[in-house]
Amino acid sequence: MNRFTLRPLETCNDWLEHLQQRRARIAVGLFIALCLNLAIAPALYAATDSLARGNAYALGLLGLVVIGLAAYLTTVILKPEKF
Amino acid sequence: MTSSTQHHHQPGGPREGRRHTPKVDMSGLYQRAFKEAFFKLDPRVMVKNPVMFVVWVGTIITVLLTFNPGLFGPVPDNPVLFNGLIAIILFLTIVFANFAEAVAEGRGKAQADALRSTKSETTARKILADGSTEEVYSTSLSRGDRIKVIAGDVIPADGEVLDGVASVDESAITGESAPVLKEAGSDVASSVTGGTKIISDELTLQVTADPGKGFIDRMIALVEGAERSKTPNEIALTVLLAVLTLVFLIVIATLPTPAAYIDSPVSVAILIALLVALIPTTIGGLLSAIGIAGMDRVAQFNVVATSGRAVEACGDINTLVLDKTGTITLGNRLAEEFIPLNGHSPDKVASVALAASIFDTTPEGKSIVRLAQQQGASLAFDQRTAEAVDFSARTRMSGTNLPDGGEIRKGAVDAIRGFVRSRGGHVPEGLDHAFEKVSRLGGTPLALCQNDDIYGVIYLKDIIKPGIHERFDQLRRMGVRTVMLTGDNRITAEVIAREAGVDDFVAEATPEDKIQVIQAEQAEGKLVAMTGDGTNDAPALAQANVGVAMNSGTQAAKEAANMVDLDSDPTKLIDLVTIGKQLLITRGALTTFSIANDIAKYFAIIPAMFAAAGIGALNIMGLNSPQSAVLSALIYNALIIPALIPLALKGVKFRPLTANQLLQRNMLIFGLGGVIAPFIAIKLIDLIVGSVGLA
Repeated sequence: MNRFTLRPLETCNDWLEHLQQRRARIAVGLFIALCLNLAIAPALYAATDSLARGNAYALGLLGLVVIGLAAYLTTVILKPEKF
Repeated sequence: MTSSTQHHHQPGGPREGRRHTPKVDMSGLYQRAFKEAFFKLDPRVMVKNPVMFVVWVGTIITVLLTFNPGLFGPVPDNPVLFNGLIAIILFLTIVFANFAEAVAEGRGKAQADALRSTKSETTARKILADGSTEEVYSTSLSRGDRIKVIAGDVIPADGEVLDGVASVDESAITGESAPVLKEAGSDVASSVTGGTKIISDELTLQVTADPGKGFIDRMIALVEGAERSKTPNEIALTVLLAVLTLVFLIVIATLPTPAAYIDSPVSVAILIALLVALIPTTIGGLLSAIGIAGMDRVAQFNVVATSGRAVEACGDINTLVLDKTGTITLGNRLAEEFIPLNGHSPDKVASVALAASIFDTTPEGKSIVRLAQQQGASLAFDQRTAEAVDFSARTRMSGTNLPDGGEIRKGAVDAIRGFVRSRGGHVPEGLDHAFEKVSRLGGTPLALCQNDDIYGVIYLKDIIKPGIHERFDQLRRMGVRTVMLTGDNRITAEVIAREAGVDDFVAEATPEDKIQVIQAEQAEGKLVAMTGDGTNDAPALAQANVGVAMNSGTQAAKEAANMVDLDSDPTKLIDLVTIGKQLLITRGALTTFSIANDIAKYFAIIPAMFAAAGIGALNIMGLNSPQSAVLSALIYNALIIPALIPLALKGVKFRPLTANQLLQRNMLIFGLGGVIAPFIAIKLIDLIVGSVGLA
């Protein structure tokens, strides 16, 4: 008797393929950034005394924006003909 | 190949005064560009310009900080106005950069619209397989179709003349009102362009371009920027700008740590202001405008370039390979003198020269007829019963076969010497002397004979174009070597080369020599430019780094070249080198200026940022307040972009100097000037900002 089914994996694969589509890229990027920020912001909040919880989340996002910009500029340097 | 018997179509009037005939409508250009500048704020467009995209992200963050100054942490006072002013200035910086690009694009689009007006849906007479004709729309024609055009028709597509002789008005594309003769089988007049008008007789054509891929279509796409891809220099500069931006981004992102350590915290808005002031926004904003304007300048010169790369390559050219005829000398050589030999009288030589040239329709032939008639010569036979012998590259002579069986020939001295010997005649001693005499004068000697008897030598005078010596001097100062190719003998070539001031020459050159000269130069790592018009020039045009085909040339030459000169003026190659160099110099000068500007902005913002750390001594400009210093530097940063738009579009004034001299000059004007100018400007803006109480 075959107790394993591939259906959940196929569904997951379809979902990943959908995420890789051009139109979904920005939304996916934002989603991942927000998820990452869920890890960064509390650490930031814990490390400083003067920051409010909202400030920590905003600063976490700002840090991710800076990293995003650095990644974007690195892409420009490596593949300049695309820009 | 431009041989001695062919001539170029030389349009009249000064080149600078001519533009495309369909008037380019520039009205409303700035209003449209202003609107376009806002459409370009779309992030999908902004992301193509790395420097301005960083400013765009900075603007979004400062806008958020304007509405919520405490977004990233507690701030000592409520800087809503200050943050708002930074946001507005950053926004204007982006709009100004977009505006510069939109103005340059708008000029190209206006030119494309003018060209598009020459394109209209026409009908064409397509020749069917059975020889009958059928009326079809021009858009349904495809490559390989045969069509018939008659006087009054607009030629429906680009094509090669298969049959017929006709006058064509090409003013729609060249701006030149004089009609051009088109005929089959000629290297200089066998291709026609869609959109031009046939004004006499009729032609049978073979279509050489599919719909939408014709000459005018390509030209529209190019000036409109639809096919614009970044040139190698632009790519290199984009990388440099991205590296600088990334370095400054990392510096700014890590600055809050030492700032906190010295107990002088910096607000995010000021950090963004410092980042924008330090990254090369001036050149980042003007880079694409400079490139587009370069293409535009070439198009205004009635030259169609297949890519921006070709225009830029013109600026890097080390060697120019030039045909003598039409480029260095005026296309038409004129008979100046008959030199009698073998004891013949001048009158007899004139009458034989007249007989030899009576069927010769080249300008040289006509000038021989004219000179002979001036000397009282007349034909001693009925022209209708005589037979013309055409010039060929193989025989290197032409002439007339007389009704009584006599053979009169004129041509290259060696060729006539061989002809006379083959008829059992002997060569007079004076022939070599006359040959040398004419050659030493820089003229072309043509020997003249009847059957086995040499009558004399015709001295064809070559006229060197006025001012060409100075042009070559300029090119030499710019480090460009000139090589002249000519079918003439060595002595003539040497004299012309010396008089014209070319650096090197190849005498008795064949079409194959052209490609060999180019390959030899390229083997030394040099970039070579050349002009050509014939099918046998096509390999050399393709081999050269910059190949300029004449519009009057064959389709094969036009397809092999990376530029087509609509005026068919080979001298224009020299102007193209100037335009290419101007493009590179403009880009270099504005990059130098943009980076040099950083020094003043640094001295304006850094003391303001770390005022609490006791580095007031760095405030060498004596600016009012930290806020005023930041605002003044940013206002200068924004305003310098529109201030430099005219320079970006027009180009830095070109001077024929060597690369080292140009570098020194640019470093002095744009480097030193780029350091000093912002100090003065920022101080002035600071005074104004202080006096109106903004900060």
